[in-house]
Amino acid sequence: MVENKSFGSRLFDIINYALLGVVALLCLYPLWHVLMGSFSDPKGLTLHTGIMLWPEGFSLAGYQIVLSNPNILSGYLNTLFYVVVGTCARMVMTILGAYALSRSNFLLKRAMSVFVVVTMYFGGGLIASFLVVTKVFNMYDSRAAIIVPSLVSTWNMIILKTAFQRVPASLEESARLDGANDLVLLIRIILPVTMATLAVITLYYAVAEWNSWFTAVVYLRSREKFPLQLFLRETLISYSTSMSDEVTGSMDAPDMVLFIEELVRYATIIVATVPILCIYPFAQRYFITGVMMGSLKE
Amino acid sequence: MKRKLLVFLLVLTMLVSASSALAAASIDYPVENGHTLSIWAPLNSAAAKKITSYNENESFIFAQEYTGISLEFVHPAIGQETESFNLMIASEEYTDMVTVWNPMYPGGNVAAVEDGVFIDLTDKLDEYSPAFAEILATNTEYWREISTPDGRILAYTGYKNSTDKQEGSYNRLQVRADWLEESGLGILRTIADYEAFFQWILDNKEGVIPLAIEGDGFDATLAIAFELYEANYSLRDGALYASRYDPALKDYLEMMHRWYEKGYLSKDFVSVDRQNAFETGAAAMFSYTSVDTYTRCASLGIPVENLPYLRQEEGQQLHGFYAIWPNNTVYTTITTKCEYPEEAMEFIDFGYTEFGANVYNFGYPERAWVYGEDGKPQYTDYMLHNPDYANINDSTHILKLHSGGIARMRYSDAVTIPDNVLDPGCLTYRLQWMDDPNYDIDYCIPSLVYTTEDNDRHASLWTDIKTYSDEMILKFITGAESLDNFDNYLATLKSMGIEECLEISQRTYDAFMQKTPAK
Amino acid sequence: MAQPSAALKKSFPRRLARNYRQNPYIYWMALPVVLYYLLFHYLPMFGIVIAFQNFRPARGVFGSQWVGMQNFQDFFRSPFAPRLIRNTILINVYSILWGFPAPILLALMLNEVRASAYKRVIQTVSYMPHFISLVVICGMIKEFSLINGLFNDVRAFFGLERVGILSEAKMFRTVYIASGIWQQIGWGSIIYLATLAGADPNLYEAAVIDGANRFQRIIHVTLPVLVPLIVMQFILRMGQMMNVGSEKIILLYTPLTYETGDVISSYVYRRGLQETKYSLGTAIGLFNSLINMCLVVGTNALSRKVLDESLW
Repeated sequence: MVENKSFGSRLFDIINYALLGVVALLCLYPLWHVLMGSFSDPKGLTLHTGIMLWPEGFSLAGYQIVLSNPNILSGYLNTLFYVVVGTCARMVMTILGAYALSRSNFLLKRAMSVFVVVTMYFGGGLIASFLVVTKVFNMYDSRAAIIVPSLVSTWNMIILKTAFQRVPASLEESARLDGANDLVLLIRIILPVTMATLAVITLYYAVAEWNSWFTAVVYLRSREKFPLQLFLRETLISYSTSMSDEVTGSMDAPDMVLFIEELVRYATIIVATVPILCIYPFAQRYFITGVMMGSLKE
Repeated sequence: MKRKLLVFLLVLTMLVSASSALAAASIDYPVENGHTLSIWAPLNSAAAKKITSYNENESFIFAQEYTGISLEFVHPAIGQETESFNLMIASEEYTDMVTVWNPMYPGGNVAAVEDGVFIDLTDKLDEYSPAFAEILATNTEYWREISTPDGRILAYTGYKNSTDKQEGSYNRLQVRADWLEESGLGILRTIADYEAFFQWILDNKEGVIPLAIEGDGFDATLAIAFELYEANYSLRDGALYASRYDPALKDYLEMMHRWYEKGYLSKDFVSVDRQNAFETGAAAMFSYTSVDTYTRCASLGIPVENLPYLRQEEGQQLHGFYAIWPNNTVYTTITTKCEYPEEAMEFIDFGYTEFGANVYNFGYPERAWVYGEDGKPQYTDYMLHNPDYANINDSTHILKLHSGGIARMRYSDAVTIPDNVLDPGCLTYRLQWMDDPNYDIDYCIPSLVYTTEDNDRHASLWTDIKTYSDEMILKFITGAESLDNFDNYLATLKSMGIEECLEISQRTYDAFMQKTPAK
Repeated sequence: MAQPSAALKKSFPRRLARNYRQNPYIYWMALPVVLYYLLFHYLPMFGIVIAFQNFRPARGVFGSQWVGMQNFQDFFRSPFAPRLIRNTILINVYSILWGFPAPILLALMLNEVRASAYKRVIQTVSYMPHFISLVVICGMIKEFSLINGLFNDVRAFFGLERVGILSEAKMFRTVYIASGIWQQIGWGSIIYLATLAGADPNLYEAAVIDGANRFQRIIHVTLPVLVPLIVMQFILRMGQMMNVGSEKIILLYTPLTYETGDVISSYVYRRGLQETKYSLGTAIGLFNSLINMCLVVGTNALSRKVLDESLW
């Protein structure tokens, strides 16, 4: 198949590439700003206004503070645990649920759909959930409390259900003819075909867990179970200067007390985000191969 | 005969009460068979840099050793205190004691006692917290502040043992000393002075904003000239009034609008970060805390000076906007889950004895401080030049108890903050203009504690009132709304129920002032 | 229409049993999920009752005083209630109008890129703002919105007057929504790209054979692949009409922009500063949920009629 190299097509490409380039630059800026800021020195950063393309004075003070937190390692390990175990558990549950909801021959399909969708809009609130998790299930201060109460995101499950429904009927039928039951159908046919969406949902769950801290605040008490974000938050708050008559300056190292807040905030963001940015390309290859649609056999 | 009996009874009563006063001993520490008590308290965020629990705080370490009662601290996640507190209550697993900055239970401590969360301390104070009871007995103003409308004591609170109420004013107008000197105008006092300076800035310093004010438009250091205050209510001639609802507000807004039109204020003042503007040289004057400004500008090399509060004319009597009340808001309560409430009371009482207060205010005895020649504590090098701490700010939460943790007697910051000891310049800067003869704090009232019904009603009305007046104040200043419509503004506030709010608050205040201890 | 004969008309329990016998695995797969929802979503639902009480934590849900509709009245009595509701809805309407198509558009544009490396780089960079905390993003916006800030530099370039952008009520929504798009467009496009990845290339080839140009191929081949997902996302998005998060609003608004920027959640937050009142928050949440649910049902019914796509 010969590619259409018409003028219109070329023009389209040029405009498309250019626009995307602009979008990319605009989207790159916030992270660049924070990255540059995180390497600045406290005073320079605090006094700076406007766009920042280079660090304002160079210093590693921000990182020193954030990384010297003795709990950083434990925080990373805990978060790793919650992300890996949590995402696996959630994916299993979500896949099972999405599969059931996608089967037109499931009599309770409609009922179950309504059943889960309603929970997106009505809930008991924080106190009721807290009581159920801690009193009924005795999960206070346990790692399970981070994962189990939020095993399924209804939104994600519906997206996955939609993807499952889109699997061509022909594939299903031929599998059935070969004698496949639902389990085989799910694992051998549905999952491989919807790999891209599965990758995205996995990414959504993993990132959400990576960024989360509120559940830990509510259910955890032992510091050795705290996720990374909680320690980072603590660091950030403890380095915030507050406006009160009790703020005393310090004659030694005033920068480290008076001007440090923004620097710590920036360093915190980088420390929290870099791991995700590193992992992301591995997930990306699952869904960026939509090259099939855009290009033809070249 | 009857008369003699009466006299006899009278004398007898006096003797009995006198002897009981003599018998008001302090507690014998260490107590026998002291147990371990759990206490829920927010951990100061600056302390969190180095320690994870107040059990590592030296004042507490000593206090536990000395009293023979141990503590186990439970700290909520920083920043989520109210949420954590209420969840703890909902789960019915609370600690023996609780310390908060402000009552967090819906309905306040009165509701908490009603619902069986905290215990009523009133009757037990004499026996188990004599030092605290003594303070209450001798300081009626303090007693009034912390007791419930019906005269009960439900919580220990911080007691600020400081003679000077005025010491508190910490917000001032800070100006570039070099530019002020250049202008040759001298210390600015009246509106006319300030306007002359602003005009000078506009004429001589290109691109500089003369004055950077608070984003909400209501700047306390300026409004004071019109007897207007940030506090919800102020007192004048025995009657409460609300600055938002005062005719004088129109004069203030006229001045601000004039300044806005002339360019003395930034057209963007709502969004401009005034501290940042001043420090980058984009503004010539701003209002902020003295201590913060002094230390930051010293570090940045910016010559700064603070100014007396704005006056309409020379010598105008100013009524300050901030006073230090004996109640230094830290509330420690004892919960109904505590198995040894008497012991808890005995432990807390330590902080109200002179020695105990010294421990909390200055640190571990003999280590952080020693008694000076005047019999008052003096810091040692352990506190002032401790090599383990890069800056003193951090050590004040670990080597001593700067704030929070537990309610106790507090001394003035001037004496207890090591930095003030180290840097007299800072202290001088902070106390500058305090010696003004035409300054009093007569218009300040302590925070009002409403009954739960009143509080409900007041809160539901006040949010709307505040929303509306916040908006209108800014609109008047920027000219989006003409000041000709000021009367409409007052009328709208009236229709929103501000007079009812005033009435509720006046009633509460009157009851408050009339409260007298039962004994 | 012929009536089914009595013999064919089976009772529900019998049909259910039959369905189970024919598809046992489906039932076993659904079971853990249903159990999860039952235990962690339906069980705590008793908490909704708080909306009708004067809730105090120590009294618990079963001990707090019942006040009926008072919490609702408390909110609606406020002269600002209409404005708050209006602002909440309008922000969401404009958000949907501009913000909903944006990630779709980006996905379509990216899909048309043939150079794989360029495509990956752009896609990776595009989602980065999603990870920058709201506080930092809003800090940047506030700075750029100053009279001497970046946004005004752009305005001046086009001959417009410099204004304090965040002081202008009429510009608030634009700033709020545009910055939202900026932050979320990349992250939101991922799911659409993934859907396109699984599409059938034969359709595309067929279109080329039929002589379709670039635009026509996008409209008639690429887009239809996304339609089921788009519809699903849209219905769910409509179900958020009453939800505007308080955090970003509070970071960006000022009393001068209350007129357009003060929403239900920010008002409730300010009210919470006056006193802690769980009941009020719960009541308002319940009210929001009811409206949201109605919108979902309505949108879903429409979608089912017109496009034959339904949430259930």
